[in-house]
Amino acid sequence: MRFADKLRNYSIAPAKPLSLMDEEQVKLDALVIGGGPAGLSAACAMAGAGMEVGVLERGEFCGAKNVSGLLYTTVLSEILPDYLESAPLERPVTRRSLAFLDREAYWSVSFGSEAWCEKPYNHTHVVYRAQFDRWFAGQTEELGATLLEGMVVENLLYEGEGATKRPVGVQIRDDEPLYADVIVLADGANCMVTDRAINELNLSRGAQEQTWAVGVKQIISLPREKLEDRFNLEPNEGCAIDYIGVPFEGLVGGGFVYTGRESVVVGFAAKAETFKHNRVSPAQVMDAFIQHPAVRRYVQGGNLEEYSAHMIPESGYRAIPEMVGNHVMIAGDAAGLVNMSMYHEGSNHAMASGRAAGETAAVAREAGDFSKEALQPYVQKLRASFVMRDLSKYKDVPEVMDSVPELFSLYPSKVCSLLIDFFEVSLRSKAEVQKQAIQKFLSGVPKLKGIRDIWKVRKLI
Amino acid sequence: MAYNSIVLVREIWDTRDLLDGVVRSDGQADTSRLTTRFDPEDLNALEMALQVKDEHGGTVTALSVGASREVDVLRESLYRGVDAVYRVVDPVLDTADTSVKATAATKAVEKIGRPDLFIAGLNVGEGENSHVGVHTAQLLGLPRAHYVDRLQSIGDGAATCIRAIEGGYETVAISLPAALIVGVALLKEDPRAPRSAKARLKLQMKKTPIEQWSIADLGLDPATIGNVTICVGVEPVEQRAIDSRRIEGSDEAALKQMIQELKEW
Ligand SMILES: Cc1cc2nc3c(=O)[nH]c(=O)nc-3n(C[C@H](O)[C@H](O)[C@H](O)COP(=O)(O)OP(=O)(O)OC[C@H]3O[C@@H](n4cnc5c(N)ncnc54)[C@H](O)[C@@H]3O)c2cc1C
Repeated sequence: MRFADKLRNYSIAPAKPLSLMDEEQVKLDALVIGGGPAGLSAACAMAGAGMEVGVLERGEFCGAKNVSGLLYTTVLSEILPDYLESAPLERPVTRRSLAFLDREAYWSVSFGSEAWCEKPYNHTHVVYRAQFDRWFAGQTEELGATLLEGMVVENLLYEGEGATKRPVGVQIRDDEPLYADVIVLADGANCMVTDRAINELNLSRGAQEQTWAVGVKQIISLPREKLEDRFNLEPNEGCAIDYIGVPFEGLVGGGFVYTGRESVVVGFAAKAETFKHNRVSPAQVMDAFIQHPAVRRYVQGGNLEEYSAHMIPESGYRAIPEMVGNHVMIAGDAAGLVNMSMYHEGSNHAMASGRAAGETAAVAREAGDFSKEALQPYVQKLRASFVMRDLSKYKDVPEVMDSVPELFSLYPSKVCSLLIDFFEVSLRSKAEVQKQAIQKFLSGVPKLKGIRDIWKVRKLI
Repeated sequence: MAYNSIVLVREIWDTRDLLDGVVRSDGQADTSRLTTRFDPEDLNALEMALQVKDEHGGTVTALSVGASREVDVLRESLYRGVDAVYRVVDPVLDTADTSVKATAATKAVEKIGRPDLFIAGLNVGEGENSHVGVHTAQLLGLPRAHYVDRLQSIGDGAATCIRAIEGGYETVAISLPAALIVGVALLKEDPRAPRSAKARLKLQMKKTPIEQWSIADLGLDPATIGNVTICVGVEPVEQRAIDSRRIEGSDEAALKQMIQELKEW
């Protein structure tokens, strides 16, 4: 019988909809909460191993509201080896700079390499997450996972008590629950679902409470030639400039300028509570940063295309919770796996952890055991990888940043004025100019403190 | 009493976040820089049909004319609980004007089986000039209401709906079968707001085959169905320079001044 005839039939007796729509519980092998780099990597690993996977993402599409700057692609290049051909990458980063801003003056160091201009471009690209995550989601779907976009997970559903308590499914807003053998929590920085699951399953939290940085960025479009002129770039080159200094005075954090294909990303990240202490709002800081002569010159005449903000877990190693429970693993920002040292590495860690969780789930499925013990290899994998090694190496970063606030304001501005004073062209003798510059440089910082601070700051590198 | 509805659903360019350079120098949009979306008014139309089904029973069928680009509106309709979906796909449609689309939609509706309600969104982007729904209703010979803001009730062989008119609303009763061309002005937390896709349906329906008909399948001759309209060119709309003026103050006097100035303008 033709489909159309069938339909006409039940227009006479509209007893029951299509059999496919029978009200029944839907159970999959795995559900992933959050379609960011962590969740999609987990889904790729599981779907690639033949598991039936659903990715629940609250955004209208993956990446709709996600924010970041650079993408380090070492893990991506293993998950999707063809990414250089098909991913929407803006520009590779072929030159990096560190710049220190004073009120009007600035100083910077730049470095780059010819090798960075060739594949794999030092595994560093500028991406726009709205496009990148969407592409990544498409690839995940091609591997067989189902993307369930526009769906907000409200909570996990549990069975059992005490040590045998385990999540069996998820409650979706305005929808029926879905069930799965294993759940990967990858709901990012603002991880309400993970947070509740940690409580429900009695997982231990990190030794230190998680604290947050606020990341804000703008995308400003510029004609391609103008952009390449201003940044002195060839068509397939790009640059990343990191800033600290005066616009971020009193804040623990710094700014960045990255080049897209026909746009510039300008943003900053700073510890959330330092805004309150300094009585400034992120928007004011953004304005001050973008108005700084060293930054303004790059974006002048451009059009604001996007303005977004996002939280970043910034406490590092010591705030990482127990990442495994019965039938559940936590990955990415939800587990706080962000390296807030000078590398600002989050998305690569998210991908590495998501993939490790996915691989662990696939092995657990073979054994038919998703208990907390059976999922421990996830943690072991992470410990053996650069993720936990780096996070452990930089475990003092949050503390150092808090205890040496001068790092972000006084010191850079001192270096800046030292240089400016040193190169001041005047009728005075060079010896006089230099002596005065050095005297000014050394004033206002007790020597011992200076030395102690340098000793502390080495931990950031 | 159960009612069967057919809803015309369309995929349109997403013009919400336009980037620089989308409009080419010849005035045409550079569609390679655009994504697509489910036409929001068709989504409202679909919701209206689904609510009729929820309340009275019956079926909802989604019909789409033209190939799917990025967002498959028929699959999205399945995820929201429609009973059947059909697509008309034909090379002729790629360059078709609204009359061709309406003719195809009419034949498809007849092939599916005439419904109690034919529902479509009113203001569809992409140069349709709000024609297709109305034109289809006309070709089907159905009594129709435009600018339907809400369906108040349905029963006794008629639908009572509220339509937006200049400066107000009008309640009309229309005998069934009928066509409703809807332009819902959604309010916050509006019960008419379209439902979102359901996870279970998505998991179950993502691979369901979708029946496709060509123009010939509809008993039309692709050679003679040709466009009534011939587009000889497009001229960009001149951008008017508008000077904005800021009226300082937040009291009633400032408001009055603004209204006065707008009146004189
Ligand atoms: C301004 C800024 C700059 C940054 N710069 C860099 C950089 O240069 N390099 C770098 O490596 N990292 C950077 N990061 C960090 C990086 O963005 C994150 O580490 C990375 O996105 C983490 O990936 P994730 O998948 O864990 O989380 P996310 O990317 O946040 O993804 C989580 C997903 O889960 C979804 N979700 C959340 N809750 C729910 C729910 N209840 N139901 C359904 N879905 C839900 C969210 O919508 C989101 O899509 C930056 C971050 C910011 C804010």
